[in-house]
Amino acid sequence: MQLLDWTILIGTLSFIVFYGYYKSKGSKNVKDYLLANNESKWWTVGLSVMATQASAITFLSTPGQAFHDGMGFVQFYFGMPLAMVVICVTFIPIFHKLKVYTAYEFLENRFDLKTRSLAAILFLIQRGLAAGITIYAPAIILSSILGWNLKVLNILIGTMVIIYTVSGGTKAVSVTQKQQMFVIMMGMFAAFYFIVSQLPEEVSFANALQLAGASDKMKIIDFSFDLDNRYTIWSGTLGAFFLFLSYFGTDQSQVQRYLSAKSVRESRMGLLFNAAIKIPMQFFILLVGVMVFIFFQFQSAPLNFSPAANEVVKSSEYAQQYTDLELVYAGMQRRKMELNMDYLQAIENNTDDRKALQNTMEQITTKEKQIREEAKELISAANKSTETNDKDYVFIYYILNYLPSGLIGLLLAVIFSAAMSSTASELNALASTTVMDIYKRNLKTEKSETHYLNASKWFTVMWGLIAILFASFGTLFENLIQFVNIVGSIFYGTILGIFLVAFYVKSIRGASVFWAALLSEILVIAVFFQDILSYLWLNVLGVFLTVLMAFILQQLNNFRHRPLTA
Amino acid sequence: MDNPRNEPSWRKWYVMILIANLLYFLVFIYLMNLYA
Repeated sequence: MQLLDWTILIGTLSFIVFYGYYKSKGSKNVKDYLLANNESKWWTVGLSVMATQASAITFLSTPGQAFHDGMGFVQFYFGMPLAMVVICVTFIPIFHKLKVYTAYEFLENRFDLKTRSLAAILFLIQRGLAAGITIYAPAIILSSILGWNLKVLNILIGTMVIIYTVSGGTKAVSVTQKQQMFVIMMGMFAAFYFIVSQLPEEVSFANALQLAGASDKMKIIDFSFDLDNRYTIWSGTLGAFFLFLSYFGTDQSQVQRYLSAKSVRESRMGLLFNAAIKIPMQFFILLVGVMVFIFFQFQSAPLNFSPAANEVVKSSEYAQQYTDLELVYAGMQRRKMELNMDYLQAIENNTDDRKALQNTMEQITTKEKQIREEAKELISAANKSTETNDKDYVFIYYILNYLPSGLIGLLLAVIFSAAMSSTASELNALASTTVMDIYKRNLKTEKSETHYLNASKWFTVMWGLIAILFASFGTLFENLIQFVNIVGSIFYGTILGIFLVAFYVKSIRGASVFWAALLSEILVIAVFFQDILSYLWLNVLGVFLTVLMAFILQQLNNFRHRPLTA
Repeated sequence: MDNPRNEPSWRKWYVMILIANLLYFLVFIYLMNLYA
C-alpha cells in the first residue's frame, strides 16, 4: 500500500463518516430518529435495502466463489423478485397502515404483546450475534492478508459506524449508504475494467468468456434435481424464496429501511428497484470473479490463496510435500497457458481439434482441482483448525498484487464501506427493536418522547459495543461464521412461521401462535442438539412446526370453547 | 397520501419485474449455449 492508497482509503471513509454525522444530527423525536421522519424517497429506500444486504463478505467471497465454482451462484437470487412481490402485496400495506416502528409491533396488533415480545427477543439474539460477524469477517481477512492488527480493525470499523449511527439514526444510515453504494459500484467497475485490460493482448473479452466456458465456469443455470448440489434453479427459486421472504419481510434490519419511506408507493418502488437489478448486479460480481480466474490462466497463481493457511503448512512437517505440490501445480499452469492459446487459435481458424483441446483442458482443470484438494488436506494435517477454503482470499489477493496504486485504496474502501453499511443497519434495527418492542412496551411504559429518543441512542451505543466485543473475541470460537449461521437458522424459521400465520391464517389467535412458536423453538433446538438435520433445514423445520402447531392448538382451543348445544 | 386510487396500477409493475427476471433467465440460457 502506497501513500496514494492510504489517502484514498482514509479520505473516502472519513468523508462518509463526517458527512453522515453532519447531514443527520439533531433528531427531534423518536419518529425522526428511527423512521427518518418518514421522508425517504424510493431510491433512498432501494439503495439502503441493497447496501444493507451487501456486506463486505459479498464483495470478498462472491468473486472467489465464481473463481472456483463458476457462475452458478447467481441462481440463488431467482427467488428474490418473487419474495419482493409478495412483500409489496401483503406486508408493506399493513405495516404502513398500522404506522409501526418495527415489524414485531404488527404482531401485537394482530395477536398480543407476548407474541410481539417473543419475536423481538428471537430477532435480538440472532441479529445481535450476526452484527459482530459483519465486523469480524472482513477484519480477519484484511488482518491476515495485510498484517494489520485484528483488534484495532474491529474497533476501527465498529467505532466509525457507531459515530454516525448514534448521532443521526436511520437518516444517517441511509444518507451514508447512498455514498457507500456509489463507492462500491465505482470500485467494482474499475476492478472489472482493469482485470479485462490486463489480459494478454490477443485475448479479447469474448475470448475470455470462451475460455471460461471451456473451463466449466459458464454453467449459469443448472436444471438437475440433485439434492447434493447446493445451487440449482429449483433451490434458487423455491428454497431461496422462503429465505428472502423471511429476510426482507421479518428482519427488522431490512424492514426498517422501507418503513422509513414516505408512502406505500415509495416503499414498494424501493423494493421493486432491488427486484429488478439484484440479479444483474450479482451476475456482474460473479463475472468479476470469472475474469480473475481467466487472468490467472495467464499468470501463476498460488496453490492456496490464504496467507494464514500457507504459513501453517510451510512451518510444519508437511512443508516439503507442499512445495512438491506447488511445483506440480506450476507445471500444470504453464501447460494450461499453452493450451488456452491453442484453443483460441482453434476457434479463430475454426479447426477440428477444438473439441479435443477442450477435453484436454477439462482434464487439466480436474487435475488442478485434485491438487488443490491435496493441498487442503496437507494444511488440515498441519493444523486441523485452519480454514482451508480460500475463496474469501482470491479477490483481495488479486487486488493487492495486480491493481495499480490508487485503485487498491479504492477497493479497500469498497470492503470497508460494505462492512459499515450492513453493520449500521443492524445496530439501527437492534436499537429500534430494543426500545420500541422491549423497553417502551414492557419496562418503561410512560416516559417522555425525549426519554425514548435518548434511550434509542444509548441502545445503539450498547449494541455497537456488544458487536465490537463479540468481534474481538471472534478468534476464540472455532469456525465462528458457521456458528452464527447455525444460530440464525435456529431462530429464522420460527419468526417467519409467526408472520406467515399472522398474514395468511386469520382464524388463528395470539395464545395459539405464541405457544406454537415457543414449542417449535424448543423442538428446533432439540433437533439441532440431536444432530438429526443439517442446519440449513432447521429454517424449514421452524416454519413448518410453528404453522402446524399453531393450527392444531387453535383447533383444540375452538373445540374446548364450542357451544354445548351444537 | 396512500390512497390506492392515486397509486399507479401495481399489478402492471409486478408483472413487468417478473418478466424482466424471466428475460435475465433467458439471457443466461443464451450465454450458456454460446460459451459453456
